Amino acid sequence: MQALIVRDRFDNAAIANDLKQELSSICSNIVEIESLNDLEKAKILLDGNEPCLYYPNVFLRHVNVPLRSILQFHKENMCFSVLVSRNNLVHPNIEPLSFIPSKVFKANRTNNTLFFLPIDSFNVTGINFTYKKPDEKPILFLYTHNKSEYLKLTLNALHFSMLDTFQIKILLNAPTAEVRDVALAFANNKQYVEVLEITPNSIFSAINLALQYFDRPSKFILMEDDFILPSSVRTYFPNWAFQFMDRLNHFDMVCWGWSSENCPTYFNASRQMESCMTDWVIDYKKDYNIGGHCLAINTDFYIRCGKKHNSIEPVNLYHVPFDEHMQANAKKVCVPSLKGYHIGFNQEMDGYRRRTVDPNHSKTYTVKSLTTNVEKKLNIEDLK
Amino acid sequence: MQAVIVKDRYDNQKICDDLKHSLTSSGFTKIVEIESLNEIDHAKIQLDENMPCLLYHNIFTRYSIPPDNIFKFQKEHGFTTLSIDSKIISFLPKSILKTCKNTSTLEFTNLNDFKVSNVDCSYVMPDEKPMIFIYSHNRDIYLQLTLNSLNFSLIEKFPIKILLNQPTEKVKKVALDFAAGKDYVEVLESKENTFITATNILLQWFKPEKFIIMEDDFIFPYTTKNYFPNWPFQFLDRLKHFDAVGWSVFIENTNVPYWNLPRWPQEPKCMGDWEILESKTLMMAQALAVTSSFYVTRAQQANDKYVCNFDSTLHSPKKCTPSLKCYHIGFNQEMDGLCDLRKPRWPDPVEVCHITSLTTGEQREIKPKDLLKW
Repeated sequence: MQALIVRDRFDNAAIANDLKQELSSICSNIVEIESLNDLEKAKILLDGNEPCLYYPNVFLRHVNVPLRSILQFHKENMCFSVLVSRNNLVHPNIEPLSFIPSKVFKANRTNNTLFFLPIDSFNVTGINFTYKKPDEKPILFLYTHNKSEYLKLTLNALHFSMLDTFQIKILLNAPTAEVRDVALAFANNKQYVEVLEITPNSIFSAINLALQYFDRPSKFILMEDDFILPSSVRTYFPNWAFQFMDRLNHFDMVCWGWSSENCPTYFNASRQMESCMTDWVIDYKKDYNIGGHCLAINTDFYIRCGKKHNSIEPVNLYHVPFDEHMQANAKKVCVPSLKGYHIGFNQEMDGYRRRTVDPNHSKTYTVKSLTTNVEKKLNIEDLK
Repeated sequence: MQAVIVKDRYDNQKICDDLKHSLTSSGFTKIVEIESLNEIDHAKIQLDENMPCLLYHNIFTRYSIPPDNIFKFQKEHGFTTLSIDSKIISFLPKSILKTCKNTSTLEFTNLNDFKVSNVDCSYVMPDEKPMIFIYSHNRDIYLQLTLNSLNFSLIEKFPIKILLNQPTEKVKKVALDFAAGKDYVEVLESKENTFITATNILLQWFKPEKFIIMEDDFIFPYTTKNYFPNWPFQFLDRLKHFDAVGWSVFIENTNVPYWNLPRWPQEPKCMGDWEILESKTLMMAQALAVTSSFYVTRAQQANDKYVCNFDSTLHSPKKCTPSLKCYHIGFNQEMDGLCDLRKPRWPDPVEVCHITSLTTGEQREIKPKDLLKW
């Protein structure tokens, strides 16, 4: 019996090994490829006429049916090219549980799914699956000021993307009443969400203050209030936040990229079309469209970037590095090929004013948790 | 003197001829046409590399000073490029390093750019005035963002008809706030939720020859008016060559994982280019121009219970779309708690619709099936 796993070398080794161990009890041939685009290479290594279990990523686990039964059923019904899990007809997961290698192909480089030849799939119902995740729990800092609609859409998408909860800290920068309402409504009944209010408006310094307030976690995810994750994130990048933290063991930054379509003309953003949406892009050349909208970063690296550029404006005002500084210093960056939507590019259309740099930006702030009522007075120059 | 014009063969011929005539009468002896900035290397072969060259990103652009003055200014001062904001209006061909593939920008060696501040850029447009139909029911936040971006994309105003389908109070407020002070916007309210029959209703009410169907969940890019100035006029004009001209969406935010759809386009073009579609592509009815006769004929053939032309429009054989893609925020409706896709969400078809124009006060009863008698 055989199995195909799509993974790259930066996927969590323990989880990948755990999967392979589980499979090795029934599969004598386990083939790994980095992308579905390598399917033809995999087919050379697979028996073309034997059913093959399919794992689009290393985190997927079938929980209530023995894998042997899936393969056995398929072997007894070889007339079907694929067995497909159809638990939910509205959101069908049309990726196969197993397939006959000689009867599937990849239509083109950017498509992220298998095509079947001929289309004779058997729909399996009642198989549940879950996703494993790396151990390290993420902490996410999201700061916001006055864009309540954007914040709402951003939080909705963030929440929808989460298969497992992790700490979310929403930093309200001298917020409007609407922004505060959105944040508190979102936090309601969610123990993993904490809302903090910063006075006066610290703008970009919010991340500096959050790092101090939460005793400098070793890694964190920085998110802005205007970035909508696609609904397919939880399928293509299950537990993405955990994966981001885990990949920081190999990269200086792990970021979501954004689509070039809605950025202003002066950005010269390039279109990147060559990958499947399920792939990771290892961005050594730093030519991907990334920014500070949602990225995981090591705190030491973040602070080092800030210090390195602390003589120039506006780093010297806000005491945080900006995305261009982080990118300039990062030797290795990793990006999901799937992209988010930076609705913040629309702020002029939606009547929000562009920020201007305030040369009298304050150094000291009050940060108060609206969840715990703990209040701290912090100075942005104190982040060491 | 020389100029490069980016155009395809479906661009309005009269406007193109006008542009070329104005250039030749100003002394431009060499005018090179290319379909895309990706072809700038082909253009370079035909150009004098050491002389400035005016660049028209599309045939609709006009500058507020004579083009020969732009040419002479650049030649006199030796700049590599002249630009308005970030838009290059004139360049020295020998300095072009490459086209930034798939974007709409050029890279230069020894860039010595001069930002022109005293030249304005305007756009001429095809004659035919568009009419946009939008319908909305309960997604006020999407409607707000859609209308904001639509309004931002428009250089020239034209009739926009918003049909509120048994709307929520918030939707009604968004529509009326948007219409306030805009005499080109008319808001109508239907007592019943006509759903996608709304286009049918608006067609019967306004009877245009051509129109643009739009839904309430489609955000145009910020750059629409840069890359596709007067896009609604261009859409209507292109209907002379195509069954449908519509915006398409980028596929990142589709709500069904593992759709059998490729990312678009497989051969990326510049964001200002047009694409001609003949195969299965993701063009939805979020913002689509069609002729009324095409819509009605297909509706008659479709025999749809909502008495509309829905899928047949999407799968019309000859389609044209801007390479620039939009954001279909409607794909997020489940994330945003606006619907539960596991439950039935399409309303029953309506036999008779009671419509009131909130702008003029006019009231009508309209039967969707009457459209089939056209």
